[in-house]
Amino acid sequence: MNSKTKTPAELQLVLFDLASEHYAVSSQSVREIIRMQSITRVPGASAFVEGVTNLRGRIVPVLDLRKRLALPVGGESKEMRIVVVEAGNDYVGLIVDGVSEVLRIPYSLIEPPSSIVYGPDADYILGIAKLETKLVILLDTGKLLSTDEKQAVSASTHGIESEVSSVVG
Amino acid sequence: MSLATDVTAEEMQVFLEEAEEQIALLDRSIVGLEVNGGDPQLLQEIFRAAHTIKGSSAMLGHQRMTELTHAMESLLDLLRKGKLKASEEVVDCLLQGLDILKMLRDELVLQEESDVNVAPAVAKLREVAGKASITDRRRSGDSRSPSRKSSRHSTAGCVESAEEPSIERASGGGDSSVEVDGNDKGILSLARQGERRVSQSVRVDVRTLDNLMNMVEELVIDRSRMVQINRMLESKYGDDNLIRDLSRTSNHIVKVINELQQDVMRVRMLPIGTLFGSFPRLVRDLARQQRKTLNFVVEGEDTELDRTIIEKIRDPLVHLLRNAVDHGVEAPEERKAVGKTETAVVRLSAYQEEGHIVITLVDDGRGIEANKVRDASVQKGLVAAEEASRLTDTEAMNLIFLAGISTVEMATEVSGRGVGLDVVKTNIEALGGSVRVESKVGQGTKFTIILPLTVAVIQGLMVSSQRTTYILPLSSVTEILRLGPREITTIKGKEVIRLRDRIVPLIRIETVRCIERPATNHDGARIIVIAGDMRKTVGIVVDELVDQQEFVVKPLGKYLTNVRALAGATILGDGRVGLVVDMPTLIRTSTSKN
Repeated sequence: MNSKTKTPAELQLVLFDLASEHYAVSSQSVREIIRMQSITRVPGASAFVEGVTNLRGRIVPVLDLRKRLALPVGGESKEMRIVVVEAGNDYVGLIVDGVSEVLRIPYSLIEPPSSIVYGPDADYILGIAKLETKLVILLDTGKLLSTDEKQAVSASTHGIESEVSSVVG
Repeated sequence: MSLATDVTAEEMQVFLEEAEEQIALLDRSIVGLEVNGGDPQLLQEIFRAAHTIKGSSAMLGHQRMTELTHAMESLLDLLRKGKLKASEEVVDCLLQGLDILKMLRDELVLQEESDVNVAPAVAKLREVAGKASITDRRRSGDSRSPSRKSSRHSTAGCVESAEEPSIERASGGGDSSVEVDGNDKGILSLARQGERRVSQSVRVDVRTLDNLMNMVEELVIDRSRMVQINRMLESKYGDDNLIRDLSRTSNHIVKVINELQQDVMRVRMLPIGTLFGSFPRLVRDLARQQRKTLNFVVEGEDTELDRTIIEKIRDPLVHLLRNAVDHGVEAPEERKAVGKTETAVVRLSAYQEEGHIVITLVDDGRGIEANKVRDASVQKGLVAAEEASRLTDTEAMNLIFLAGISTVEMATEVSGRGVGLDVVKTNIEALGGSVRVESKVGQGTKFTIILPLTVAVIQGLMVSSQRTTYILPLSSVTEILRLGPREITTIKGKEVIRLRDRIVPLIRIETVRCIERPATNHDGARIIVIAGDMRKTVGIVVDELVDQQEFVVKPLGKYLTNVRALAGATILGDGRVGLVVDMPTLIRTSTSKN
């Protein structure tokens, strides 16, 4: 409610580790954090889609965030978690090495990303939070799905529409 | 001409819902007038619907709607009293009024004023009503109406009513004073009856129902999980009192969930009549346009079906109906020439059979010539000539569901471009149903559509392949074989089997592709699920057959929609996710990749 009247000076983040680096997403987009559980592979899906899992009766796609961010593939550990985020009306699970903390940081500590370091394609990086002990990369959960993926999605919807219209015609 | 908005949104909602109901009723019944013109019960029903809309629109202050429905009501009153017969002209002008009424309703729904002018329709209604006196005198001696039956029927009514000298009253048809007097009591009591009925039902938002269904589905999943845990506990701790209590309680919960599931599913059911209702009008208009006379019979409107299916079956049905009127049924002269009755019969029926809904569309038209379909398919390169000649006539006829086939040379405005029947089939299969055609040349054609009661639950075969669990919808599975390695041969490096006189390629679900000759030898027997139709058959190699049961199908979500051969996912008893295979797509894509 307050966000309409004044912009909050702070951002609440969920911090997690990936391949010895520190990442974070806005806690507003995080639905819940669950332990690793059985994931069903989906043949034909993008390489970074680990599969689908059951979140209390809901089918949720799970992305391997290491693969998505082109980080070295790691082994399994007990610390691994699935961070379930809301993207539009859907939930998406992100596999991370471990969730470290939930933190409030002022906006003043966040620096916009530099395209020299991360490359031009990294539009899913919102910025870098400079904490005392570490640098944290803020991710835009909405943009974690590749553009290719989105195009494929819209293409298949388009196909259905044209089929429907030819029934009527 | 301003939109009446001095009511609350809620009141407007109630009004629109009611109007929707009454308009649907009018849509259904007015066309019926042509067939059984004088049926007093039908007339009473129509009259009441118009009367209701008139009343509620007046309350809303919607003048144009009141004016229009009043004119319709007056005309209907004359019909009801037998002072006018339901001639084609009368029905036409009532339908015209109904169309305007729908436009007025749309205006309210969209909250957007369009220039709907009711004056011409009202004038026409009054003019026709004014003719009542003349018709009365003529006693309909000349029955120019093409529908003989109806005119004869209503003649009786006219003769009766002619006994009372009612010319002056009838001529005042356009006047507001023609209102019902004596009969009002009857209407009132009927209305009261209606009230009593209504008080036992509640309008529910569809979204609430969908939510309810989702929650029940979750319960259903938990149910299977609970049964499993219970069994595990029993085998681990055996005859413990607490365990026994737990089993008893969970057994009870399972029972309640079962009932809950059934009830919620029933709530989502709608009589298929809600869909069929708009068809008589459609068929009538088409027949008119094509100058064909036909009797459209609708049966089994009470048959209940999941509302999702009802929504999605509309387009395919409209397509088949158009085909029937356009191509199936011959023109009257042609029918007469071959010794048939001039009036064709098109019959649309729905009924339930063994957990399925069957919809049939039968016409007594010219039928489909199997050889024409064979030739057309060969010409279009859809089947080889040799293959086509081997098909039985019925098999050949079912080729009309392939893309690009039309046996009618000339495309008309309505249909006949060879686009469509394949889409009809695709759409029906997407609902987990199937469609087939039978036909006898010169005698007619019959389309049979078989649909599941609900889309959310399917009968499926649970199999495992490469450690993933898949659900194969039973509707596409034809048989299951266990074959030794000797019975599998290769053609150009791809594995095939011989199934009676056919060569069937083997595929794996996960690759959606034919299996290359494997590097390692497999010496054990393999389980092969045969699926497909008479044209394309594949053998799906699976590692294990797990179970056969009902599965609740859930969408994979929009991030995975580009995975083509999957229809969705389901949650298994142990909480894991199983993938539901979209069989038609799997078969199509795997065989076209050869």
